[in-house]
Amino acid sequence: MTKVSTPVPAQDRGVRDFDGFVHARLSELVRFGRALTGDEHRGADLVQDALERALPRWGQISSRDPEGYVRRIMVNRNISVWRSQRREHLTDHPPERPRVEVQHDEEVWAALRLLPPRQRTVVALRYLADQSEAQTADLMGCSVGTVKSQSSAAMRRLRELLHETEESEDER
Amino acid sequence: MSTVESRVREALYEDVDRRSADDILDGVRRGARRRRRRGRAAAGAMVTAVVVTAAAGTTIHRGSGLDFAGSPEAPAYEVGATDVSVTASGQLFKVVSNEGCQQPCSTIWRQDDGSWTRLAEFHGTSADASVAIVHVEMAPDGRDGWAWGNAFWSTHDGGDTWTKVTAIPYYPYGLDVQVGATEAWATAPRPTGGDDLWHTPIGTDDWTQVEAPRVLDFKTQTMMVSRRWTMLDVLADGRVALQDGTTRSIGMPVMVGGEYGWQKEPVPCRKTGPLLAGQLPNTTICGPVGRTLNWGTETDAYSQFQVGLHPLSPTDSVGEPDMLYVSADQASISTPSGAVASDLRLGADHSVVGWSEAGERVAIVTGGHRVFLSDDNGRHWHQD
Repeated sequence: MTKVSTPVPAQDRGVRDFDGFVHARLSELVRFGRALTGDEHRGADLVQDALERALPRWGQISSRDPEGYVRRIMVNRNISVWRSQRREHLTDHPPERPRVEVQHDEEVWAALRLLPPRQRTVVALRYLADQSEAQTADLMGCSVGTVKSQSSAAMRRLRELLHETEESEDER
Repeated sequence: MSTVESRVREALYEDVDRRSADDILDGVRRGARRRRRRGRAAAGAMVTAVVVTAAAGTTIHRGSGLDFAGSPEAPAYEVGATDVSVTASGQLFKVVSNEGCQQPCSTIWRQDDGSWTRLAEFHGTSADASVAIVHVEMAPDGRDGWAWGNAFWSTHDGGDTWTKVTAIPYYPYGLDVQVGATEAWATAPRPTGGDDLWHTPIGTDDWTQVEAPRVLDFKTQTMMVSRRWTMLDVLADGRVALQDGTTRSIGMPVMVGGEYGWQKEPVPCRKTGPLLAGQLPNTTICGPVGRTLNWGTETDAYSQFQVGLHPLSPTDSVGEPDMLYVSADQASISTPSGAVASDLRLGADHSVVGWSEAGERVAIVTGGHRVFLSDDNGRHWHQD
């Protein structure tokens, strides 16, 4: 398993051009999209949507932090899409899905999919993107207090779903 | 850190599907162009009408050129080959962009008996970083073929003369054409959104629209007509295989058929066998992930390039050990041992953006716009 923590600024990787950026960072962006949506294919769609929106502005953003820019679009788009689809039915039994069957902790993913999108976003930003509470609040356009409460609620719910009786309540 | 936190972190870091960055890029560009066009649709409608009217019916003869449109913007153009087409008649066609002509431009070339003939030159619009013609797809006879990019052209004399196709309302940058033994198929975007399906017998441009299949919506589980289609293949019996292109989900069904109706085909699965052992161990691949290529265990050679699914026959679908995986997001053309085919000497230029095969002959175009050829089913390669 390859682990990637904090996103590497694109300019440090010599990937100023759009194609190079996508080739270099696609896996991490899809991983982030999967964390936001709970589904890899919807996550990939989210990545494509964000890149479409970033492409026309690439000349302005490529010399700064293009990955941060794309991630911010993904966060905002995911939440806005969710707002427009509030009646979305959450289920433990998603429709036919496919695919590349690698070793997944399906129990965890099923639990993550049952979280409300904003809680899942907090989890993605804190535990995958390694963003601080302040950075997470900035990205989501909310207060640090909201991030703390959402994070706490998310982990509590995950413990319930995963049937864990945790003594530790420390949630970073 | 609690056990739950550890498990969540581990799950979030799990590997993702090795999807093709090139496919994503293609989708991104198409989507970005659609957004841009929507924004300027009102102002551009009249200009487009004038341009199309002026260009309709235009014919390009060998060695001549045509200004198709113009715009003052000056993007950087990529230079080199963008597509190839090998014919059963032994010819090789290629599209070369922005080389030896006034940019943005493309030229189409034909190789007979080892020597190249420059057939036609096309000019593009600099309003977009794309070039005039990007793709070429020839029929097995080498006489009939289609080329497209910012316009849609056809030839019926081996590439000497190219005529603009007007039977299909053309909306640039979304067209896909695949040519079978008797028919050519096209998925063509319409200005109002979505793709239409068209087909024509080989030898003419008698394009007629075919009713699109209905597919099961991935999210709502209702029957719907896809807005976009991914054309996977034209089968030997003339039917075309399609998949819903509105989502990248490979769980969507494959629809196979044509003007006489459509049927849902199972999405075949296959074990990756030894070939992907270094990349996706213990993996079962279902559906059109990446691009696959047959490895002929008897001939000890590559035998066929395919886009998307291979094979469609369920009887061959599971446990197929002889797949060759071509260019997911990082590399490459792998031998069954997992190594990059050494004869290609691809170096860092190891993505594949175009390919074609006929009989023993295989041609690929790399992301670096180089053409590689094999005359023995991929056993040996050389750069054009």
